[in-house]
Amino acid sequence: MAEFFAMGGYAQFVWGAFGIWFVCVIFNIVAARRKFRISVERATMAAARHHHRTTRKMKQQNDT
Amino acid sequence: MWNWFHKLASPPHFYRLAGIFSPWMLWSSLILIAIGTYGGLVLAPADYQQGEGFRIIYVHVPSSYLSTMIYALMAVTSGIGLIWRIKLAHAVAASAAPIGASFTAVSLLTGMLWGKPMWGTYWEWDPRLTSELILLFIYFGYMSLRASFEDISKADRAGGLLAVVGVVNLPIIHYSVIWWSSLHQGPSIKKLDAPSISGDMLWPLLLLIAASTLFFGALLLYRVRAEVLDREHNSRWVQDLLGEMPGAG
Repeated sequence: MAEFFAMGGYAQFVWGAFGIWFVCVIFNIVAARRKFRISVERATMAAARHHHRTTRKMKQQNDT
Repeated sequence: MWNWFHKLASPPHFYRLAGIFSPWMLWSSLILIAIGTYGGLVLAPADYQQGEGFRIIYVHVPSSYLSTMIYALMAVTSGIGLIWRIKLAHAVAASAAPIGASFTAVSLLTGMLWGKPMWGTYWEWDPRLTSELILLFIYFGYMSLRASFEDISKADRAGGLLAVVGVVNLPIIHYSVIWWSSLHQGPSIKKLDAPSISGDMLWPLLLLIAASTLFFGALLLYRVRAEVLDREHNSRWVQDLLGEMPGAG
């Protein structure tokens, strides 16, 4: 096992490279989810504003 | 066929389909990446010249491949977006850029970690390394150019133009090891019928290339869905979709 982790003397380079790769994979998942969440929030707000406007307009039309 | 294509390019249809496919693609790609990593780290034999250090190729080659493949996709979709004014094509290009930039950075960093023990230096102003670094700067340039516009359609036009012009860098990266005498080695798996790498070393590499392409596909669908929402939040279908969600008012 220790021999496996030593990587024939290349430990810091091999594990460093795989570590960077792993971080990149995780980072990409987190970043994509975050981007999606923000877009959903923004669009939801826009939809709520629109909904508010249209209901108010309808109410005004009903009142007159 | 044409009808099918048109339907796919319609934002609500794309949004729904991408939402179905992307989780499956993501999970299967992660499983394949795990298998490939195990194959590369444990099952593949050490190289007779480079010892265990050669294992860096299992992360270096897939990320280098992604860095150029993603850029090519970005340039093609930008071109389509500019010529036929298809917004979804621009959305794909804009979504691909940050993923491509991240893998370009990984390609450079893992290459440096390979270069130190093998060449004796982390960095050399070698044609292959320099052109790959320029690719990273083009990605950054594209993203900051897009970010500098408030108006999405202006960002699409300016960014698209940059992406199309920047494509000249791709053949330079690809042929740099052939045109100039480079420190970087030539291709090892180009000739699939007679690869200059043995089978038990090769399969984890091919698997990781395929798996990371699938991984990119999943991320891309996820990000394009977000882009579609950004662009279409005033349209009826988005309001209907999000209006049904709890707390949407």
